[in-house]
Amino acid sequence: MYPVYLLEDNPLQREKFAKYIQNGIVINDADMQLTCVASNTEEFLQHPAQLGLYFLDMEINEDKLAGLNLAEKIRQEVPLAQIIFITTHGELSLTTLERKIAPTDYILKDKGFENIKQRITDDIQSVQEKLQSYSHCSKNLLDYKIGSRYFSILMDDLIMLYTKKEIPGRIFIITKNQLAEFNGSLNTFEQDYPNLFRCNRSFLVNLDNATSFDSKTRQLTFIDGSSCEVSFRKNKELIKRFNHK
Amino acid sequence: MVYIDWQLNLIANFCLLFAILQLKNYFIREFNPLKILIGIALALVFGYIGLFLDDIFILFFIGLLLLVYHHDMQKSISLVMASNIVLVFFCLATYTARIIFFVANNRWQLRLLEIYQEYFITASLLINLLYLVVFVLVAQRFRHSTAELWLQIEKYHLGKRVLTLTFSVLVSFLVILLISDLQAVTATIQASLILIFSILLIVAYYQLVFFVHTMAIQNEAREKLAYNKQLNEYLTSVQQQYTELRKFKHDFQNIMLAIKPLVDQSDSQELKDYYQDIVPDDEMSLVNKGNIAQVSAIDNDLIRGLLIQKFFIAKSKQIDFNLELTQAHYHFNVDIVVVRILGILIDNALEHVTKNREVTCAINQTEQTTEITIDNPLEKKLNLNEIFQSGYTTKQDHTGFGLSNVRKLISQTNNLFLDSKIVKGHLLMTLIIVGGE
Repeated sequence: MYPVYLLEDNPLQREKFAKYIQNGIVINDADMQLTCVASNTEEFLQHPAQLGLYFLDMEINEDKLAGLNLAEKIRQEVPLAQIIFITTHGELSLTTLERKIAPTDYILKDKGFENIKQRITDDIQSVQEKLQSYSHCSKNLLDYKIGSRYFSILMDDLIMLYTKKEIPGRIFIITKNQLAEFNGSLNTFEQDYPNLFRCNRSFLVNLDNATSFDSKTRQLTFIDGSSCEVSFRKNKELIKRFNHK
Repeated sequence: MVYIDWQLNLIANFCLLFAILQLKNYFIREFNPLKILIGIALALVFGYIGLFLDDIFILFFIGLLLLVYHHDMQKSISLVMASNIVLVFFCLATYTARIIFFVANNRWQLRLLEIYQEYFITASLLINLLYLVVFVLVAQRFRHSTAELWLQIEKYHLGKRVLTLTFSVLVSFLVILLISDLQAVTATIQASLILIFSILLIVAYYQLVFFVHTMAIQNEAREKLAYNKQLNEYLTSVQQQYTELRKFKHDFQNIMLAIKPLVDQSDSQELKDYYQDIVPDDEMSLVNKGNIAQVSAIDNDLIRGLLIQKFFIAKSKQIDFNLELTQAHYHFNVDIVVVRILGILIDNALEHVTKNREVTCAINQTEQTTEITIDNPLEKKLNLNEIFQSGYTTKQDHTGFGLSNVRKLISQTNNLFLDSKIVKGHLLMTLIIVGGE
């Protein structure tokens, strides 16, 4: 049972949103349950944060950043939590939120209750679909650090990590929708994430996202069109890994 | 004293004046046959007058020309400078020629010069020409910085001071020449006087350059201060207006949401229609956009300046440039690379948006790490892998070297990281800066 949380300080709205969420669960026949309906952060924090779906209001009792701070906390404890903001605040900084929380959705109250109801239902549906598609593959994350910040990438999205000769000590990441870089060494990642395949000195790839392998040129191609060469030594191991799948 | 035939004296005077005029023309880059003809005529007339007036005729000549040029500061300064330089070279050339003559004859007698005066004058003129050519060649190398110096002089209206300075140098120079002539000072003493004076002259010019630079810096600082003050006043007033509007908007939305149930229960279709009309209020949502006033939270002039500049560029292109600065204060201690990268990222975003004209810049800062995100909606599908390749572009009439340059700039540092992500139809380019206190 996937838990659903709701935080909203306005009693009338809280009641409505709770109703919409329950309706949404029923309509989508989702394996979810509304386990927590809170009117302030203290009440909310009494429930232990766990993997689940969170509907949060941004401004709680005059504290404009209450929802955001809570979300940061949840994200830290449960990196894979699905967080959705419901807020009146138009100036809610979408780009900042995206960087800090990466919420699943934002619902603006300005558009009226009908719209909110529709969005809640849609979000429950999309989360439900996500859960089903992830359940068969690894749910773990790839973590890395830049300065004082930690970042996570969903293993399903990861395509490859690679280094460049001319920029030693820097690792580049390619995922389905993101390019990133950080300082580190591929060897540690090869050890920490045995599901990844080291196809030559400077490439560590996720074979789940590989599309084709040309055994003549030893060229491995991935879903985003990027490719890399598999070293002669690793050729056998690669074929073995493919056969296992 | 050496007494020299008047024809030779005329030639020497002519050459001196002609050299001054040509050097002046060189300074202001005004060469044409007419100018040269006028120069010859002027030099002839004044050279003849010079026969009766001794060295003071030069002052007379310069004074008259200055009267003619009184409205043109650049010409006046060039003229005075040119005459200073030519005079110094003339004197130096004369002494060089003397020494050569004495050494050649191995006799240190002034009478020699009188005997061989045709050769002596010719030789000194030739040597003078040589000096001038060397000077022009050297000056050519400093052409650029001289031009820059002149621009600064003009910009800060220092022309009058510079003219006074150079002109007094000229006058004192001529006084030395004149008095040493009248008092019949020996050539050796005159030579050392002029040498010392030349050194002083060089020092004076050096001081002049220094002075102009100092003035320029001082003026720049003053202008910047005034500009910053104006900008801050403007930003504060915008901030106030914005805060009031936002408060109003917040109240308004809550009220609207609160009366929704009442409207729903009501039988009046008119009321319902009216409510529908005002709820999806686009103008209200505009209140939040383009809040450039927040930029005052950034303590770095370069970055703040860049954001303001891009804001106005965006405005001129009818693009909403939103700033998301949620913290009260942002501290930047960054070098110019960050500003360059940021400039390229914003330019790229501004050039990319056509339909949904909106670009957002968000800054998140923790103690050690700063993230600057540029966010623009994507119009069509984009392969992230390709955008950093040199020459790749989604735009027409665009070379597409911006992002590959960003890559290059980042590779040169060890504390910058770039993160590009496509989320919900938006491209988010984030520059992460580590350290720098």
